[in-house]
Formats: sequence, structure tokens, C-alpha cells
Amino acid sequence: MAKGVMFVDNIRVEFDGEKSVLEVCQKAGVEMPNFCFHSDLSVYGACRMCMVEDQNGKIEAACTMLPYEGLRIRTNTARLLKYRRLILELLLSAHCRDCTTCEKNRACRLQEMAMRFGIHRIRFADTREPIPEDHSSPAISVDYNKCILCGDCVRVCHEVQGVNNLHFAGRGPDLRIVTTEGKPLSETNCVSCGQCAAVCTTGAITVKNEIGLAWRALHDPHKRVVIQIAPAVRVAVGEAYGIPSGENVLDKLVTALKIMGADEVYDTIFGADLTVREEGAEFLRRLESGENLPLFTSCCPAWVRYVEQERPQFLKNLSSALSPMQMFATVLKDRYRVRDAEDGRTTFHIAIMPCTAKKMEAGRPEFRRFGVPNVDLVLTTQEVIKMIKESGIRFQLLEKESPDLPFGMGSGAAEIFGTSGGVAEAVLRHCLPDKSKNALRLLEHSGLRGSDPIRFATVPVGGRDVRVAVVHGLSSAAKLLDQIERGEVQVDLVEVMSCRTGCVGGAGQPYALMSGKLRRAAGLYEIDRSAMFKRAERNPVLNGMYAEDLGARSHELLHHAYAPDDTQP
Amino acid sequence: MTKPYLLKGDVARPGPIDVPDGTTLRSIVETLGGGMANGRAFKAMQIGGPSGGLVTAAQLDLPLDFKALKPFGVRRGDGVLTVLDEDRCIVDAVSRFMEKTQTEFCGKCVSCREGTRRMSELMRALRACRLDREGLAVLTDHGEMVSVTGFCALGKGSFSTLRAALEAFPGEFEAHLAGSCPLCARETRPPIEPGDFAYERKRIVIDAEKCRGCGRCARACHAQAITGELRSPFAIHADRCVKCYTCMELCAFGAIREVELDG
Repeated sequence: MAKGVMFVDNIRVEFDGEKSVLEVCQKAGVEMPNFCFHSDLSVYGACRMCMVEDQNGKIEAACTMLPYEGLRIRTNTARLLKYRRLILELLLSAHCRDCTTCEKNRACRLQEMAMRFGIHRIRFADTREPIPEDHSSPAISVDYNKCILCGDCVRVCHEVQGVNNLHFAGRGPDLRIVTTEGKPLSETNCVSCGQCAAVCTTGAITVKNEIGLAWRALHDPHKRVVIQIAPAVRVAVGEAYGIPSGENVLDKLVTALKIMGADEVYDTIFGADLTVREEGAEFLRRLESGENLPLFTSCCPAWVRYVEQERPQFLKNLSSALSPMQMFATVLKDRYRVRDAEDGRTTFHIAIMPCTAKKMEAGRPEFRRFGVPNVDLVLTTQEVIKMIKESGIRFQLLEKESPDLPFGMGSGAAEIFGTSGGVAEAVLRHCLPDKSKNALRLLEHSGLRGSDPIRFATVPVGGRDVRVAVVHGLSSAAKLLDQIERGEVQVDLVEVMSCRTGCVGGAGQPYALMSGKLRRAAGLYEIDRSAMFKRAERNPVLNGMYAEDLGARSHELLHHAYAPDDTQP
Repeated sequence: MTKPYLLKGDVARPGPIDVPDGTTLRSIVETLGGGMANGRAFKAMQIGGPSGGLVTAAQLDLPLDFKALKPFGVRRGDGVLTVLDEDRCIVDAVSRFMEKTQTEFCGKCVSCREGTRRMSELMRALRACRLDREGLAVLTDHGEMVSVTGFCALGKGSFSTLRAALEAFPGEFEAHLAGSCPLCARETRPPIEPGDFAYERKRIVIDAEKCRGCGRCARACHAQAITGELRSPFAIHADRCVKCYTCMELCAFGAIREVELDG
């Protein structure tokens, strides 16, 4: 990697390993305008916004320009500004400019750039043929008319997720984004991970908006609205209100939801504790018998769908324990059936998730009992932020309120479910015979935590060494599956999260770069450190329920063996 | 060394030519092209198609060499030399080259995809005398932007022809801005379209009268260009034929021959 000194707008900047001039500019504190550059993806060089001028007056795109010793570039000459304005005007002239009603209003990069460069007049008419929108997917909406062809979604789908479902098609004026075979999204092998929506620079790909359904339920006196909040949400919601990412604002969120009309607000960590106990028991059973190893976690619905579609031979390895959201919902709906019959109200269960795929999971037929879905509605973090804003609540000034009991408490192990490595750590905490603080500390430093796409750790459990792998990003998962199939790696437990950094980097969260996502993960570990109890089996409410009848009914309520025949909804 | 080009437009003998290194543009027009057609005077030569450039009579004594022609924004481009005579309207010709970018570009980078699209629209309006001076300024602004920020040579070269034409023939642009162009009004010939030229001047054909339908040629043709029913005349598909002459040498009846096309 090149090392040296260059000058950005006469500011001396040292570069060391930066792959492009654009990254050096960012280091120098210049926010380069761009659409198609994304630090987590490969370089594409199509938007032509990041042009810089060197000492000889030569103009080049910074994202594809290599830094070299003594290079002097200017980022804001008169020519560059003129060209950028022209490019922006061209982009806007071929864009559906219904900003006020757009899902991405005030969060759109194109809009932000237009504002930054003061584009007030578009001299060209939009002459494109309108393309029908695609609302077929339960999680993602696509409006091709808003696409500016930056290709971020295509690259994230191929490079990070390995789902290969979005492509460029056509050439020249016909260039457009299509799904595989041009089918509606719901009929393709899309796993609903939503990363395309997370990187989309405009409102072309967005997370399905179901705020209307939420309001209808909250305003319906015949409905008892019960809410669960996932761990990853609490460390990201605050970002919309100027609170640093990683700070736990669960208490304020509970207050806000109560103001908005929620009857009861609970915490998904209760469900996560259930998952840990069920999955831990399952893991120990499989370890004993040696059957269907390695055990794959099944908390991530996009991952489950990926296995169903791409690697059905691994379906038997998926844990049959439900995801925390479904654990919570089944137990809740089961308990509340009695109450519903008593007071004549129906329980409407809303899950607040960092995830788009949970919307898909909630709609799966196997997660319905007695004709109703266990989770009636999944709202993403972003949707909740919008609802709070719509209510006129000043989030920063809210009083704090704890989640309700009994389902509002859980272990520290459950809190870290929201980050990559967390589920594996939580399950191992449960399985470790040694319950001392030291054992927990050893686990913490065993290599489960971190940000590498694939991590391995070896943990002694009950006299044998358990080999654990932690993966995030589906393309990394595919790589690991290949290695397992070829027998190159031997593992017993594999945790897979579809999104990079796990749920904290989910597509339903506010937009963030890698650093922000890792700060959220650190926030979750922080919560775990100050948690009252760190292991799922210490959850007193759960222990009570298991002592009652849950232990006997666990198989009926808390497990679902994924089989090849339920791939088709 | 020679390089292959396609000479077309208002020359007496258009067609594929092999140009030896150092040949001047004048000798290409006058010797290889057999001089101007219909005795009209030379006006301009477009070299390289949509991403190439334009030279005028002043540059005719320069060699067809890209170092020499680089200052005039000329690239080899698609390797077509289009000669325009004095009665051709330059605005009309340039607009057709601009239009050609729309079937050539890939669509990846914004400046070329959106920029050349708008430039073609504006050029079309100018050709129809529906553009005002402000519109022409928008056109040149975008041309300059695309020529600097384009991702590849196609986008970067898309403005060269127009820029050279604007410099050399400002009067014709003025006429189009003012609302009527005398050259366009007088023109009765079909316009010269970029590309689209019957490149092949020779073709192998089967004489249906001599052919006895033995099928020997079809079996031997490795390009699978010959089809037909046994005992009835076979035919060669010109789009597949690679002119290897295998069939011609094989034919026992002398039914296969080479013909020269005119034009």
C-alpha cells in the first residue's frame, strides 16, 4: 500500500493505505459529494460527482484516482462546481421529483446534494416512460422511477450478501436495475435482508412502510396493543435525535410508545432468553449425539430463507428453536388468549425490530396459531422514529420508563443478541458448566467478539473443545458453508447474521457506516456489563414459567424444524 | 504499415480503404476516394464517428495520424471517414453524429448517459431551428462537462465534432438559431447517417442456373453459411459467409463466383 504526503485544497495530508484520493480527501475533512462510492463496497466510478482537479488542471474522479507522493488536488474549483451542478441537474431531470411524498424525504442523498449545490431550476423535462412500482415483497418496496443507477444495491446484493438478486440490465438509454429474470421481488430468491434499501441513495428501494397499520391498531379501542422492542433498536433510535449511537434509550422509547397509545410495552430480550435456553439445550443434545452438527443459529430470518433457497442440504443443521421475536410472540399470544376472552379485546402484537426480514418472518405461515399471526405487525426502527416525530414528541426531553413486567426483563446475554457474535456467546454462556465471572471473561476474549466477517473460537464445554464460528454478511456465510462442505473447517456451532455487524447494522436501522454500527454494538456490550444477571437461566420470570407448564409445552410452542417443503409460502 | 478505414459520404468512390502511414487527408479524398462527387467542393471530414472529431479544409494537408490530429479532438473512433461537401449543412450532420451516441453508449456514468441524451435532444431542436441562443449555451456547457467528466473515450469524445463545427462554421449555427437554414432548405439528397454502410463490397454467390444441388459446398462450409435442399439450388447467406473461397474451389459445376457490389 502506498504511503506518502499529498495536498488536498492546500492542506497537507498523509496517506497510508488509502485506496483512493477520495478516501484521502475524507481524511482531510473534505466531504466529497458522491452517489456511487460506498466504503463497504467496491469502487464503481459512475456518478462523476467526486471529480477533483490536479495541479496541471487535469480533472479526474477521486474515487478511481490513486494517491501519490506530492499530488496536489483542488476539490472546489469553479469548473468542478459548474460540472457538479450540471450533473446534478441532469440526474434530477431524469428522476421522479415527488420529494414531499417520498419515503426518503430529508434522508435522500440526491436531495441533500441538490440542496448543497443550490439546484433550484431544472431546464429539462423528464421524458422517461414510467416503470410500474414493485410492492410485492413483504419487506421492501421498489420504485424504479426514482433510481439514479448508482449501482450500490447491485453491489451490496452481490458482494456483501451474495444473494445475486439485483442486476443491471439493458444498455445505454435502456439501462435499468432488474431483479433476477425481471420477476416481482416476492417471486425471486430475495431474502428480504433489506441491505439494498439501506444503501439506496434515493427513495428507489425503501423498507415497506406499515405505519398506517400501526396507527389504526393504536387508535382502536377494541385492540390491546402489546409491543416488544428488540435489543438493537435501543442503541440506534437516539441517533435521530442527536443522541450518540450506542447510547441505550430504551426507557425513553417505552415512554414514547406509551404516549402514542401502546397498552403494554415489553422487551424482546425475554424472548431471547427463551431462545438461548432452547437452543442451548438443543446444542448440548446434538453435541452429545453428534447428530446434525454443526448447529446453525436460526434467529436471522434472512439467513433461514437463504438456507431454504440456496443450501437446503443444511436445513437439518438449523436450530429448531424459534427466533426471539417469535418466541416472545408465541408465549405472549398463548397467555393472552385467556385475557382476550375475558375482556373482549383482541391482542395486537407489534414488534419493533432493526430488521426488514422480520416483516417477512412475521408473515410466514408456520408462525400463525389459531388463524392469527403471532406477530401482527413488525415496525422497523426507522418507522418508529417517524411515528414519534409524527406524534410531536420531543424525544430528548422524555421521562424514562422501564418496560412492563413480566415480559420486560431479560439477561445481559439476551441484550447482545443484537450484535454479531452475541448469539453464540449467549448460548455458550448457557452451556458452560463453569458459571464464574472468570469463565464469562474468558468467553468475552475467546475471539467471538470483533468485526471480522468470519471469526473462529474454541471454547471448552463439558470436557470437550467446542469449535464456534461467527459469520456476518451472507456472502461470508456462503464461503463458510463451502468450507464446511469441503471439510476444510470443523465446527460445532455457527452463528450467522445476514447483515454486517449483526442486527445493529440491520436495514431497518437509521443509515450508518461501519463505524456507527460498531458503536451500536459496543453500546449493547455496555448494557450487558451493567445487566443484573448475565445468563439466560437466571431469568426469574422464565424460571417460574418453566416450572409451571412451559417446560412441558416447549416443543409445541417454541420449536419449528425448518424443512424443504415450507420454502414456498 | 497500412490501417483499414471506411471512406463514405460525398466522395466519388466511397468504400473500405487501406491507408498507408503518413497519407494526408487530401490524398485520401482525392486519390483513394477518387475526388469529390458531383464536382462540389470539400467542406469537412468527420473522423471516428460519435466519439471522433471533425476536420476542415484547413487541416487537409495533415496526415491521418492521431498525434497530428489530436489537437483537433480527433480520435480513430469507429474508423469511418465521412466526407461532407459544401452543400451539406453542418448542423444537420453534427446532430446525426450526436444522435449516434444514443445507440453506442453503455449507460454507466451519469455525465455520458444523461448528458449526451440531453445534448442529442438539444441538437435535434437546433436542426429543426427550434433552439435559442440560451439553449445553445446549455448545449455547449453540457458538451464541455461530458468531455471532461465522462468515464470513457466515448463520452469524452462526444463533444469534439460539435466543438470543431461551432468553431469552423459559426454562420450555419447562426442560421439555425435565426430560424431558417439555406443549406437545409436546398438539400434534396438523403442525409449521411453515421455508421450503417454496406461495408462488404464483394460477395460470394451461387448461380442458381448452374447449381445442381449436390450439397458439397454446404457440407464443406465451416461457417455454415450455405443452406438448401438437395437437388435444388443452394444459397449463401452473406451475413455468415467469411469468404474463405472453399466452396468456390470445391464446386464441380463452377456455379459459385465472387461478385462486386456497387456503391
